[in-house]
Amino acid sequence: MKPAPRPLVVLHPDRLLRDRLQRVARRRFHLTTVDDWDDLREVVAEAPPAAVILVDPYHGQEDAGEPSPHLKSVLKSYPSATVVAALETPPERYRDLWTMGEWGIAEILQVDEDVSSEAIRKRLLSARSQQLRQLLTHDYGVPLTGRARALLDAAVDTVMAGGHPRDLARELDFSPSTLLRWCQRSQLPNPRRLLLWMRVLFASALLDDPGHSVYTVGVACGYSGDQALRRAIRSVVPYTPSELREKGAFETVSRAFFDEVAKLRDDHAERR
Amino acid sequence: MPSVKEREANEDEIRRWRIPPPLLRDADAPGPEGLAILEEIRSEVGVLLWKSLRSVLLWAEFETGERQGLFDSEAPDRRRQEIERSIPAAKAELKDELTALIAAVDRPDEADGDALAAACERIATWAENAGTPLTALEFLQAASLCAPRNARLALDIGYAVQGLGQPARAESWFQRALGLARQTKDWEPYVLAYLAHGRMMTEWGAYPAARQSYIKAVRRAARENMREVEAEVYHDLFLLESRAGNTGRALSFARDALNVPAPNATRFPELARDMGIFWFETGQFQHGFSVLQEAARQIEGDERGRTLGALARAAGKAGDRETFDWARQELDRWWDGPGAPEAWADVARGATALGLKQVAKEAAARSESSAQARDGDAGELAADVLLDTIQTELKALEAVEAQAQLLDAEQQKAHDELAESVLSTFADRSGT
Repeated sequence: MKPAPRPLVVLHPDRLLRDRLQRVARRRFHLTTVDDWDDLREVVAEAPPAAVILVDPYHGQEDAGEPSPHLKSVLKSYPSATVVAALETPPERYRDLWTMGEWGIAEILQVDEDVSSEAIRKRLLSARSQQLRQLLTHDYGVPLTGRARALLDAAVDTVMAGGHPRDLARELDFSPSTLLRWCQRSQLPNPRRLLLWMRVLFASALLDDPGHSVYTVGVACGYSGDQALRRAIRSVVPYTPSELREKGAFETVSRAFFDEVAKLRDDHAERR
Repeated sequence: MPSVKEREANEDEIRRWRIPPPLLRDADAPGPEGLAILEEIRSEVGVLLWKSLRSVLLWAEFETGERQGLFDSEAPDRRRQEIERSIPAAKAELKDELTALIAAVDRPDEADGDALAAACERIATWAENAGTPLTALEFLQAASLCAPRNARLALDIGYAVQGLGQPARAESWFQRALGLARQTKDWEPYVLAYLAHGRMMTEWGAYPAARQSYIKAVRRAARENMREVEAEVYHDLFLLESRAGNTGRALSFARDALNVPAPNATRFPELARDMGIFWFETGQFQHGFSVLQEAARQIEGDERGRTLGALARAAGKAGDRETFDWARQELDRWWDGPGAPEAWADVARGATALGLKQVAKEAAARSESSAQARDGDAGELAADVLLDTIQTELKALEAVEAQAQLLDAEQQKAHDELAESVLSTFADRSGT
């Protein structure tokens, strides 16, 4: 398992910003730049849903009066796309900021403020995990405690960064044994299995997009290829990737995950 | 200045008790960090609040020594000018607080976390007063991250999030409050966080976990001489055990709650009311009825409706038409707040027991309409469903009554003495 760089597609004329993004991307993102909305549309249509799209929301607008209708159209056509808007944020732009939030952008990069590598990384990483986190909020009738939900969120972040149980422990500032104890007390699978589930859930979200082959999904999730992905899927649900696609991959896998969590549930436990 | 030994002990404590990471966002509401502010305050002021929040959150994510170069060097001056330009003179107080937050951007490595937290808290108060609760919550969270050892703040956030109907997120803050309180030996938030956690677990039906939290709360409250809270936790333990069907334990905790020498005993009438309901439901109808009559005289405010409903039900079972009519009229005349659907359902139960079919029908319809007004759906309180289930309930009550007759003398004595004690406390409180 190796961390797979995710595509970062950039439509932004600011050269300085591009240089900064290049510095931040390194092994985490594979950066591609496009020149106009049409090119962006083409790239988004072909990019895996794991891609992060960073745009200048005023690109092509003559007076930069309001965000481009092309942005709205991209967000509407590809609602699962992770789009970050990079713009200056003077107070007068309050309507635009709110409007873009309504349209469904995942994050805003304030080009006049978020200039350090740390700030840019934070914005990109925050955008990156949102899709899977949101998918996992669907109510499967298994109420999770705050502690369990926090572990789940951290596990999503770890998987998105291609991490392992020890990385999850580090993210939470725990020792591996504390992490294991916390998973038990929160009535979740052990850390290794929890991360396996999150990875397969991520893969199944990608499988639901018909434009991607099993191989590319496997690679996007950090597996060496389709065989490794098949084995991972088989270890949690009795289906092949193609069968999962037919059934609705994310729905099927997430239901199976919450079924396993429900089996671990113990209302008689004294510590939650 | 703490001694080396004290410092080491403190560090050990921090290592020993890991603090769960809190949930900062509702995962169901994705989008840019702090977007809730722009949803509530659609103006230039909103953008300044949003930008300040994001700067503070970014600052708080890094440790001292790692913050150099985190922000653009021109950002502080630009922010000052924006504040000057966009915050109206009428909001001078807000202007001061936003200006105070510039310290995080201006001198990130020197900025004082406690000072930033204090400014965030004042902005949260301002937002609360301005009727923008999500903005208030965002700044409270930011305050907590700037002052990461403040257990009271974490507890307040837990309550605020709970009020917004996000239980998992609230619980993560209660857990954080607990951990911080234990590290800093700040026992009041410790007890209150365990109490809040216990209530949450009770609602989820996780009784053993709830019991464990209550027991920890009550032990610490007793040790720290927090009498009012101690009585409150015993009250909750009593409710938990009565819900779980552990009559003996419930009685014992009720007795403990009554025996705590709490100087104000502000919640005594509510405790008595709950004991009245408990007696009613365990077949000790006379005790239930007498205690509920006294409680209905003393309980005002939001809890009054529920109390009047319980009294109407008990009066119906006791065949006391006069008290039933009084409770019903009081409910009609005085009260239209939380718990109304349940209170009217109880009136329907009392009316059925008295054989007043039309009154029962009207009360059930009222229960349904107030449930619809509250929840948009009458659910289990739909009038015809309710009237059907009441008949079954009445039969079940007869069985409970028969069982209560089988109590041995000692068990019955325990009930009698406790009821007497409650009634004499009522008499003392009213000065007779």
